[in-house]
Amino acid sequence: MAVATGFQRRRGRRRGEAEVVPPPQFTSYYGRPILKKPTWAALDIAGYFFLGGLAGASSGLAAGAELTGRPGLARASKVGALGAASLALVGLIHDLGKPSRFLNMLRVFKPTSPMSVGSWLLAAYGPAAGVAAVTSVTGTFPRTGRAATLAAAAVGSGVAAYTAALISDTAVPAWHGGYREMPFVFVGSAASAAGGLGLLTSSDRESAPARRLAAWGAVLELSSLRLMEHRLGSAAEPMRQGSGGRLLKAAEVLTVAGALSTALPGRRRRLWAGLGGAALLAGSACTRFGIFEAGVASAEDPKYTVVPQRERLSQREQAGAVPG
Amino acid sequence: MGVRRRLDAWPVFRQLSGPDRLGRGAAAESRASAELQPRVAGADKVVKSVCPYCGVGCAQNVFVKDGKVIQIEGDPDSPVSRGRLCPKGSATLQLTTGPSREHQVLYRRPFAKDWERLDLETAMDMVAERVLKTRAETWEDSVDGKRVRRTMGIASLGGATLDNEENYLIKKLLTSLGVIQIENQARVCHSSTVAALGTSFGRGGSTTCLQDLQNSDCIVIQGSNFAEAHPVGFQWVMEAKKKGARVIHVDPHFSRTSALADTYVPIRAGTDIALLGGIIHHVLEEEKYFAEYVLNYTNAAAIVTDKFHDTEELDGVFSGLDREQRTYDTTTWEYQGAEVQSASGERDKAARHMDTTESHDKGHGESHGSGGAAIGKGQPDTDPSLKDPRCVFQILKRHYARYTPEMVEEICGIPQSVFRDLCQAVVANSGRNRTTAFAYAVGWTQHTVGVQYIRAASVLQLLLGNIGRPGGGIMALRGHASIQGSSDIPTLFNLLPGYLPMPYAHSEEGLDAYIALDSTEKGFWAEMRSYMVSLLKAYWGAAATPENEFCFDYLPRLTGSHGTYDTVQEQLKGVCKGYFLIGENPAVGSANTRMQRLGMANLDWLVVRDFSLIESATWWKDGPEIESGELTSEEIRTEVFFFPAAAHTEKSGSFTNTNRMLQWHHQAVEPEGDARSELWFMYHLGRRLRELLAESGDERDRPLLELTWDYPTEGEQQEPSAEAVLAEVNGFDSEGKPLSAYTELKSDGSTACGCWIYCGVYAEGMNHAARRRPAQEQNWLGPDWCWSWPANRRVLYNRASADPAGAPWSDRKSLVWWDSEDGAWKGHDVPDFPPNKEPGFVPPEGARGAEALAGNDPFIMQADGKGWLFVPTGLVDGPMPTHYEPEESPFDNRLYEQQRNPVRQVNPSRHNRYQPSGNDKGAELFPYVTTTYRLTEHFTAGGMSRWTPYLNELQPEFFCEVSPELARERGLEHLGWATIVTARSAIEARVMVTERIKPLRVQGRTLHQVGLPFHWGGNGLSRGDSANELTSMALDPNVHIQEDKAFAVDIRAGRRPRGPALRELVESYARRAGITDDTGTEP
Amino acid sequence: MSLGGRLAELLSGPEPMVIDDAGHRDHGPRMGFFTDTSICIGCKACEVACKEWNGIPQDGQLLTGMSYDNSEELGADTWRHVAFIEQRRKVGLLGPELSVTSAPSPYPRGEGVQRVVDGQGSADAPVQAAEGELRWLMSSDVCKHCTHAACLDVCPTGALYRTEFGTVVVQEDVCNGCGYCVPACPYGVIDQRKDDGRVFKCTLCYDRLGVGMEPACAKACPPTRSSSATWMSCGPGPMSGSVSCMARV
Ligand SMILES: Nc1nc2c(c(=O)[nH]1)N[C@H]1C(S)=C(S)[C@@H](COP(=O)(O)OP(=O)(O)OC[C@H]3O[C@@H](n4cnc5c(=O)[nH]c(N)nc54)[C@H](O)[C@@H]3O)O[C@H]1N2
Ligand SMILES: Nc1nc2c(c(=O)[nH]1)N[C@H]1C(S)=C(S)[C@@H](COP(=O)(O)OP(=O)(O)OC[C@H]3O[C@@H](n4cnc5c(=O)[nH]c(N)nc54)[C@H](O)[C@@H]3O)O[C@H]1N2
Ligand code: SF4
Ligand code: SF4
Ligand code: SF4
Ligand code: SF4
Ligand code: SF4
Ligand SMILES: [Mo]
Repeated sequence: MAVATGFQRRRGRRRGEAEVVPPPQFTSYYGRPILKKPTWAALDIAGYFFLGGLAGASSGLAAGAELTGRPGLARASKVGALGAASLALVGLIHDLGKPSRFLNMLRVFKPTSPMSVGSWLLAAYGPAAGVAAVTSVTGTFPRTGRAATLAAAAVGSGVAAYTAALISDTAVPAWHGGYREMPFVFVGSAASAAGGLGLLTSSDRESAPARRLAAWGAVLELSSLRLMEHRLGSAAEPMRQGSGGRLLKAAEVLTVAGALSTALPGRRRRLWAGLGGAALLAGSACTRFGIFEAGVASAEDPKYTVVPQRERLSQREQAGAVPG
Repeated sequence: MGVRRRLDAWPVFRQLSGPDRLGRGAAAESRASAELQPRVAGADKVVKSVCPYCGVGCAQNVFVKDGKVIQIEGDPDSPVSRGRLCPKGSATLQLTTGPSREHQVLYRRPFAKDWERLDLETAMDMVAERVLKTRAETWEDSVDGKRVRRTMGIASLGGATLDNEENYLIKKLLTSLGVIQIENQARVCHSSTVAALGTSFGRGGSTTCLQDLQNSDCIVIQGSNFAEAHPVGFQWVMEAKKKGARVIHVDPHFSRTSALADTYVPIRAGTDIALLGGIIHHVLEEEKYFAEYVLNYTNAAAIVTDKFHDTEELDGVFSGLDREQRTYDTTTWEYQGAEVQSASGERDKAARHMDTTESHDKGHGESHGSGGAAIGKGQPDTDPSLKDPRCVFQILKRHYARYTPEMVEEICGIPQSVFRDLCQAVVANSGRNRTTAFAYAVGWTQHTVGVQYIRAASVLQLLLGNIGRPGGGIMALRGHASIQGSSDIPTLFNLLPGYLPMPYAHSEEGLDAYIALDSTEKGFWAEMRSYMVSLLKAYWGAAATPENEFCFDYLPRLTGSHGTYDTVQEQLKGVCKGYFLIGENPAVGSANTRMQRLGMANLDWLVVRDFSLIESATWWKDGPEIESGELTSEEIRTEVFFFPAAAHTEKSGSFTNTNRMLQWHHQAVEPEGDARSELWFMYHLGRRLRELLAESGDERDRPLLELTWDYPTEGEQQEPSAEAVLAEVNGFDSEGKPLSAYTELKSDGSTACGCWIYCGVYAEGMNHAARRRPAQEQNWLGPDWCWSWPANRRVLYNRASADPAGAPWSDRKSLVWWDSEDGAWKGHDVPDFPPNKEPGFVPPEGARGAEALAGNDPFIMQADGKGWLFVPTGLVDGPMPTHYEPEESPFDNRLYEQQRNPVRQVNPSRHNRYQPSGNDKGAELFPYVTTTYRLTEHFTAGGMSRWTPYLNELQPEFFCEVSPELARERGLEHLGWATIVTARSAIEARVMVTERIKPLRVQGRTLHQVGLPFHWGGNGLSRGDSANELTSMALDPNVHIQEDKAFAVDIRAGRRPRGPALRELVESYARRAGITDDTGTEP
Repeated sequence: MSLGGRLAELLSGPEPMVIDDAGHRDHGPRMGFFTDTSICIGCKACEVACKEWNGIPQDGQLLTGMSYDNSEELGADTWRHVAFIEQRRKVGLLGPELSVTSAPSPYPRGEGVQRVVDGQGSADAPVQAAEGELRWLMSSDVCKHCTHAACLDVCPTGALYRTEFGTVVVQEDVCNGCGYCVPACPYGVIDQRKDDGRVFKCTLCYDRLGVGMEPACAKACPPTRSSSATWMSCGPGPMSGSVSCMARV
């Protein structure tokens, strides 16, 4: 008689199906998920992570460009930031169960809630990014524009980073377990996206900061992702398998290719830069979607909750600690 | 200020200004939270009520607001339920206020394919007209020259879900119309209980009450799925367990009860007498009985006539068997005593008045529901040394000599070590200091030897001295909310209120002969005449006079068994043409449901009163026979009326729970739409009929026209006053003053009483059933919570809790005792004994009635004052329990040549075929034993659970339970489908493969059992085949209860065939097994 | 206490004054559930009573084959869930400790099943079938109203908050369905009702506690309750014979 365990139960089977009322050697109650998987729609929320990161980092790039006298790159980045932020917001609101209650996000200020902190950051960032973009496009109120640009850059780094804290602060194994590296992954990913956008939109003459940012971001993203996977142990499995794994693989290829292509010299440099920028943007998006999917997969299978727990427990036991 | 308030409404501001800086508590509170109120806070009133599902009778509080019921929950004051409700009780709000309830009268014309609407008044007129027409067509003044004044054309079924007052009106009205086929769930449920406990102890109700189980030292739950079927009552088992009691569950299937027991003992279904007989054997052989108790309080010392021969001598049958007639001459089992011979001669004479059908009837056992069987004049000879070979004690010893541990193992599949442990447990926990209780329900009652199952426990408990004592007794766990009530105030063919027997047709029988036949000489059953006359006065009031024998003649007469299964046959024969289903669903709940439906398809008219469109209301449209093509709606001529019923929250009345306790529930709201109570229906139907016949001079109409039928009505709907009915049930004297005890009843016509055992419930004009003194303020028996029959006693026969001298057997087990200073019995309970009769009292020569009871006669309703180890009279299938195999069994009877109960009632017909058994050819086709049972989440035939969403989601589909071994053997897959086949039909069920079902070793081979919850049918929110498609009408001869707890089946993987192929499958089995209409019918 | 220490207390470790920390003044004892699975009869009255009281929709009729559990798990429409585990334990497997065993917990951190078998000195030992004793464990699960409630901590709107009873409640007039609390809960308790958009879970009958009524599920629960230590109370019942549910220490 086959023993049905949590590991054998797969989504294709009917719920709880086994040959008998299953014997007790399961990893969880009838192999069912221990956690509730996120209710979020990938397009809305992973999209939001990507766009929010893009916006925040673009604001930083814009400030840098402005301060170093690269108005084209600055303008493009500001517009890009505003566009990305607006789209991100649309996704965010769309994903709410009660969109009409969006403003309740500002009902409290909760330091314990990354989403609350993020909401307040967004509340500050949005207007700043908006003013920065509008003044830059219209050329009016330059001083206000400068201030807004700097403010957006300052808050933007928070906007780019907080979503990492947001997903890490859940019980989802693949997210929670990566809480140390996640901010670096997200910031790196944001930077490479912003750099990519910068490369795509700026002239060759002004693109140096974007190039640097992109390279730096790509390196940060990929290295911290590696580190994270290593540290996650068995819970990293969904980052290598399934849709999460495929997306992260794609992200790696795109990001590496994008980063390398931006460094290609020669006649086609402009073209390569554009293609590379696009690849970096796509790579960044794939990273966010990949991590999102991997997280969902890790919540759906109880082994990612139970096995690491047991591992920790036996480690503690070996270390002589009282078993919890 | 305004700004501040507005700012204050913003939690961030409150975070900054208040203590909750992190915004996780007070600061984040919303307006709605601040103003939150539970919905019951605004209730206009809280109405005291009782759960309408099962016999535990949990008390409910019904919260009403704006004329709507808004919440129903437990009443913590109840001494029985302590505020708890099981899932069904907890779903009462959905049951009573949910969308599944019908509120429209529906009508189906003959041959129609669908319902149409009808106005309530028109429908009532039409029904009245149908009743009179059918009655006229089928009226019988006499049968075989004997006066019967009755109609066999009309029958009614249902009552256990209804109030006592409603049952009272149903029986009263229909009886006055000459209808005798009045039946309810008690027949199919616990009729065996009444006959078994009645003949053993003198009353047919549970000997104890649920709360007293907490005092047990050992509780044997056998034949009951206590935790699932009486969940809230089970708290008292848990209470006992907490105090250290051992809880043992003996059951074919491992249920939630088994999970909570200390010991679970799997048993082959249908073999409990072998097991209990084994324990009796152990107790007798090892001399573990409670000698002083046995000698004083039981009939162990009584001598039995020398005509008696035991199964030991006759290879499994008793003396007096007439195989041809399938009856015993029970006079060969009687006591030997001074005047017994002549007395029995007299009774013989009376018996000879009966025609053969009557002696076939055998339905008399139930008339000992509150009054033991008559033994004739005088008292039996006794041998207090218990040495006389013909004394009961010695007979018992011989009878059980072959019930050895080896035999138990062979028959029941219980290993000897387990059996010994069981014996030790009950023996070690009985005696002066300790008590053992048995709890059973329909796992025992529903067998062809159902009565004898319970008798076996009675014998054992008497030997161990456990009756009438705290923590002892036999807890009969009754079924529906008021099934006890519908037995006490019976809607049963063979009983009148208070277990007075319905009279049989005799050539010249009058009231005197009737009384002579059944009343005892000694004890309170000697006053049967007073009870009967008072009933007749309650029925016919001023018209009942001494001159006309109080209208005794108005009662229609029986000529045999007219139980519900007989009625089905009458329907198929075309004799019974009109049928009332008043809260019962035989198309799912009764055995051989196909035959039930075929019977209904042969009616002129059918009235169904229920909450929803149950299977019994719609079979003509979508029943299994329509699906299989066997019938088409266009061919079915039955006219069907559906009347929506009022729920318990919509009417006042009393339920009698399994403690014999009457609990009043008050109307909370009026029923909506056309929904009405049964009280309304019966009262207004009666009123119409009386109006229609007002001018009639016909003799046959006089019982109806002279019936007292003047209940006051209340409100716009003209609801008759239930309290007025209760007052009549309680009884009053010639001045109309309420009586306070049945001892006040007179035989001269100066008192009227609708149900003598309920006399006292309305003492001083106060509704004692509505008393709600909180449990916290009284002792564990809760004497001031509602009212128990008889005389508010909670533990019956409690005189036996004291030794013959009147002192408690031990301090630990004291309940009532003799207080010599006051010259009275005192105690925690109302003494079940004449209050001032001293323990050493010896009745004077020639004393009768209560006067004739000796001081050590604790069984005051018994003819000899004793608990009966041996039943000399009153049962038709034996004086002592004997193991027989079920009607259908894969095994031969290991104990005797006699395979089955020789006098069991079989109804052979092509729709009700039986299978071969044991070594007979063809039996091998049905190798598995099946039993049927309940789930906590559903209720009986499903009318009150399959339409209730919250209950359905908990158990959404019909399934069968099988062991992994059987699953392997038959290729069954967990959650797949299985088809289960008997000679009656084949059904399909989802498969639950579980180790909880354990294969047994029986007679050297492996036996697999199949478990089937029986709640499903074709209608409602969750649907499935009914287990009762499989069961047969094989009945216990005493009480006509069906054997649905043990039968043989085949099981195969996959779904059952549809259409005509279904019958073909069943036929193919019949062919291969060589089954004919006569198979399995031999005596 | 240092600010750091105070913060650490607020965010992890024992937090004895959880109600005060949530800014409530003049409050009563903390309320919570004590679950004694050893006397749970698996009747599911708690599930039904909860649904009736809170008007929770029926959420589907599916035969799961998970023993007698067809509710499957806690969620937006199942605030109480009774788990059923069928278990055959080989004799001798646990040696002398057989009498006290801990079933494999359906829940990750062992807050679930701890069953005392035959703990209450019945005179003679229960018979053990040769193949090992079959057990059917039933236990009723519910939101734990955690001291450090992840769901509450992450909620951006303050819809989830700690009440004056120390319980964790979703304020349905505030929740905007952001869904953050759902993956935050380590026990998979809280979930979104799809057609509504908001999230739902046990409120510990906040409305009832407010007027001194005990939770609907606890009130219905049929088995016994009394004050002895091992038998403390059934499923959702209180710790002692008092009327409301227990004060958690
Ligand atoms: N939840 C719920 N409660 C109910 C009801 C309900 O439908 N659902 N119905 C009510 C009614 S009407 C009644 S009558 C009572 C019935 O209450 P119970 O009698 O407790 O109910 P059942 O489950 O039908 O049967 C009892 C047990 O008998 C076992 N059994 C079957 N055959 C045998 C046998 O030969 N020997 C032994 N020892 N055991 C056997 C079955 O396996 C089952 O566990 O419950 C009442 N309460
Ligand atoms: N195989 C098998 N068969 C069995 C049993 C078994 O164990 N195994 N058990 C048997 C037993 S013990 C019993 S009691 C029967 C039960 O069988 P039934 O009595 O046929 O089953 P119920 O579903 O309880 O039917 C009662 C009906 O009354 C309705 N009702 C409730 N209250 C009222 C009211 O106030 N007025 C009216 N008019 N209607 C009302 C309910 O909606 C329900 O439809 O089944 C028997 N059948
Ligand atoms: S069904 Fe029985 S046990 Fe359940 S609440 Fe009603 S009366 Fe009590
Ligand atoms: S929902 Fe989860 S995290 Fe929140 S209180 Fe309940 S158990 Fe704790
Ligand atoms: S879904 Fe509602 S309760 Fe949950 S975190 Fe969001 S706002 Fe708070
Ligand atoms: S406390 Fe109230 S809300 Fe929570 S599970 Fe119990 S009944 Fe439901
Ligand atoms: S916790 Fe109580 S109500 Fe819930 S299933 Fe267990 S016994 Fe029944
Ligand atoms: Mo029943």
